[in-house]
Amino acid sequence: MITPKITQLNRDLIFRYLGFQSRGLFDMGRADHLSRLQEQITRCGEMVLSISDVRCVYRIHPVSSILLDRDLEEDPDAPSKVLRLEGNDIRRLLDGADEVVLMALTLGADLERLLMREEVTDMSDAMVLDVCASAAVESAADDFEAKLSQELLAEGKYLTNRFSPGYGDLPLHTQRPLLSHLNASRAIGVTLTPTNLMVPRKSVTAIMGICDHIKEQTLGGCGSCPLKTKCTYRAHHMRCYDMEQAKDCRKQS
Amino acid sequence: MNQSFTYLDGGMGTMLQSAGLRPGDKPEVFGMQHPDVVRDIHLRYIEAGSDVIYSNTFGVNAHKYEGSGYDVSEVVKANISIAKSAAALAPDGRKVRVALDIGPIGELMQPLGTLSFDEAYAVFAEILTAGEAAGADLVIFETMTDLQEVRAGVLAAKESTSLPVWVTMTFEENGRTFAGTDAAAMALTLDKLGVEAIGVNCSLGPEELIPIVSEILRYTDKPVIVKPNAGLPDPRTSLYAMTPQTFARQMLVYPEMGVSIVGGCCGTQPSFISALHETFESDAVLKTEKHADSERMRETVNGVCSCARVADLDGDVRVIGERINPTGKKRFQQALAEHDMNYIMKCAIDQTQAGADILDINVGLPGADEAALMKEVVFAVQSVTDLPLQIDSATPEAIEAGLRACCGRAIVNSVNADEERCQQILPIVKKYGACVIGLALKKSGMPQTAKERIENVQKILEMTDAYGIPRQDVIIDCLALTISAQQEQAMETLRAVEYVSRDLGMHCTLGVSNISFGLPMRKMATVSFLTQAMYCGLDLPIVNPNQVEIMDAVASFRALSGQDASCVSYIERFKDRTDSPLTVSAAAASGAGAASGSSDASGEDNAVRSAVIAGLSGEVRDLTRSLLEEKDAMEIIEQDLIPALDVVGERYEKQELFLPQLINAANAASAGFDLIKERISEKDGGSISKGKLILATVEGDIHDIGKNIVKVVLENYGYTVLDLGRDVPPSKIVETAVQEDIRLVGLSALMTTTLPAMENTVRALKDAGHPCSIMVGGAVVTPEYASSIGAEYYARDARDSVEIAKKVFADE
Repeated sequence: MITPKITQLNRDLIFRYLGFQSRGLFDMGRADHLSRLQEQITRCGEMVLSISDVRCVYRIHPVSSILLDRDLEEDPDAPSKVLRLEGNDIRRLLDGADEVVLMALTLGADLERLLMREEVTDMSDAMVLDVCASAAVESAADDFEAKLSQELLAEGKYLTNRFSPGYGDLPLHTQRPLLSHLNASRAIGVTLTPTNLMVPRKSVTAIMGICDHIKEQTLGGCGSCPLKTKCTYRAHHMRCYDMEQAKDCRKQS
Repeated sequence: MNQSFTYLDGGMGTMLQSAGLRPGDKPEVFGMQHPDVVRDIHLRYIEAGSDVIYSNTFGVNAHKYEGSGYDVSEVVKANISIAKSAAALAPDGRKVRVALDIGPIGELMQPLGTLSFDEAYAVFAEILTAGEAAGADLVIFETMTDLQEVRAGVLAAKESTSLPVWVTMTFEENGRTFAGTDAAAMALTLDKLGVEAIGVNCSLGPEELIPIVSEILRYTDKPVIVKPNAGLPDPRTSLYAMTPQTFARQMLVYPEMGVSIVGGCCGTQPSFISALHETFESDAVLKTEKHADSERMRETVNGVCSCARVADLDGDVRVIGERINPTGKKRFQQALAEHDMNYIMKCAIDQTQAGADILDINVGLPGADEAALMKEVVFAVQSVTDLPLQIDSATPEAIEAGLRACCGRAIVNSVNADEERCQQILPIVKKYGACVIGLALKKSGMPQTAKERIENVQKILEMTDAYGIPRQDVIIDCLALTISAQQEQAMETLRAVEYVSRDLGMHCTLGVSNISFGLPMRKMATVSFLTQAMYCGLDLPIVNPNQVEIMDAVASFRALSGQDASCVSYIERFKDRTDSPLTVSAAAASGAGAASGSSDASGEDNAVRSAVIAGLSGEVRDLTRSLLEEKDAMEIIEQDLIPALDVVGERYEKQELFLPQLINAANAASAGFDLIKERISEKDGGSISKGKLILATVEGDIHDIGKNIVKVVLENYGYTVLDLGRDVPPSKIVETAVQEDIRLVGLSALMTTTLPAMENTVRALKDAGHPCSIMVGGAVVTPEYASSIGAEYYARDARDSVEIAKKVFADE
């Protein structure tokens, strides 16, 4: 059983989340302002680390237990399976994979309450906390991925990229059957609003394939991204998926 | 047949699956379609010894069944009938009861989620009415994680059915549920709310639940339910490996502790219930002596609580914070009138951090709908503090609204020796199981002596006794009156406190600060009186916890009286303090140094300006205070604060500053604005607002940090922001815009999936014909999108929204 942890809070990522991905770290404003911000990030980061209660639930199934678009193309009356995953992106991701990992992870309700309280007392801290929490949930998901990879490696198996409902053309409403299949509300306390947003907000879901070979990574590309018209990475000729640790820029959609 | 234990059933889900239920199918619909299968499962439990079987209705509710094509009432009725038909077949004519099984609705309640209390109430009422009509013998809410959701269910059950109500919640190893409910708080709240049996289900195995169950047993003498899983699941397979015999053996500890209702949850089957039955019934010792003893000896702790924190009423001093009260406070009155919950939430957070144990909530404002305001404030306060509350009002409607909204067990402030008042208030106190303050006075006049006070107390007790309110739940206020007017009263008050505490053995409260009203250096007299009163038995002082001297006196008294064992808290509080007042001036000196330092560095010659730019709130406040002596308030705003914010804004534009720094500067400026606002509202109640606008995160969206940033910045530019919160329906935005005659509405959405809600809101505003401009923003909003849905402005960020507001209000 994998129990992921927050291994690090990536400062580079935090600065990017704060809206300054376009510039180097050292030409941003005056030194005294910057050092105060650095202190603020350290302090808020520690608060996030101490209050987070990382909980994770996952299951591994044969790919054949997932209903993909191609199954319906072959047989429009194909019987229902463990989970239906729509779209081309997920089909590409799972192409050549034998098994699929379904995972949900949260930092817990106490963090959510802290964020709420801080928005009342100090909006600046609230914002930095929010960003640190996003970096933390990303770190925990990365840690899950790293630990699972390690386990699989021993069996000669490899993980594909990580994908989530709301990425590319996999609809956000997939969260509902996915979380329900994982029994996430009972297992880790993650529920959905009627508009398919996860509560606590600092939670992630992930879908990954397991292959017996290293697969060339296939993400949907910017063309299929709902943020393509206003993505700040693209505006600066960068790609979120090129950037280590910055894969979730599209999670917002 | 031994009646000392009640046996429940075990797991249902896995048995349904092995009988053909497919993943993703609804178990309750499966039951309707295969009544024989479900009846057979019930029968197997009955044969194994279950006295109460849970109907196959756990997951049926209007939210989960939306769009399913099935009617909730019909599904409930069908499954209750199946359970009843099984109960009727019980061997040897045994009486088997059918429990209407209700699980969580599946969405998180406000404030973390979007489900409102009233919605949850309606969802439960539908299930409950159908269940009772179909003949259920009782209702069990199980696997619950949010105490507020449970309260909605329990109140719905009490108000729309006559079924006995049982509740079990699901806890993690840390003794709390995922939603943050604490086991002790749950037991206390539900016991007082009149729930007939309380306990735990699911969660963990029998052994792991021991500490949680003992916590529950400390706070309730109602029958306690334990329905654990078959141990912990195997991490690899998620299967439960415990045998029925091990399960039964591990459960043996519970009768001794005082538990009387037992069963199993995930991983348990009929064989587990048989094993439980055999083990318990064959152990003669448990059956007779020990079990009976533990039943007799169960003494519980009294207290008040929120969902996450209990304040024991055990005679030790617990401080009740008095600051959430508009009496004599212009700024607070204004906040209430404007529904500025942020201001009130700050008051709550300040008192919590200052060490209050309980918060008094008073929202009496002439001309306002006090009941509605009470509900709004209670929800707001409980979203930022876990302290128990005291609902303080003159009107029964506001008291009931407060108790209904309050998650946990509250105190009611107050009744007095007048029969009429007691007749109005005590039934409400009784219904919600609250504690109540009895003021030792009556309409005919203020008591002059200790004796008159005590006569009034006797009168109050006659009435609380008559309503069945236990004396331990009645807190007496012997009335502190100002010594500047009635000097002789102070000692009479203390004598009465002593009698009520020592001779009647009751809890005492006092509005302590009244004692010094009208005197100079009030805190000297207040602190001195507080200390004497605590010595006489005052255990629930109502004070201002933000006054350091008050909390120092409480800490000292706790140490002197032995309540603070080994002076641990005293030492913790004072270890870094010195006697010399140097600390204050030293802090001021270093602050001033920092200000001059930053002013040098930034090349600003104006001290307030540089303090704003550097984001130093304390300094901005101090500098504004001294500026106010030589300068007009509006001049300070126009010449100092706003220009400073403009400098920050420009640097942010040029990307020299980060957003948190912009907010820091805005916060610092707000320290100055707040001071000026206070001065102005004290002087003539006037306002310095540059214009009033609405901000809201659209319906369905719960990401509101962006909207809140915009709010802080706009407020600090002098605009009045009506913050409608997140997940706001279009109708509410239109209604407020019309009512308040708003010229600018700001809408935020973070998700592509909630953009349609933004469009709907814009359309609703246009359709209403109310003349106003709309600005929209948020991660996925673009200028093109803004104009396509008819919004007048696109706000790229908080800074942009200020420019828009300037433009809109300049056109006025």
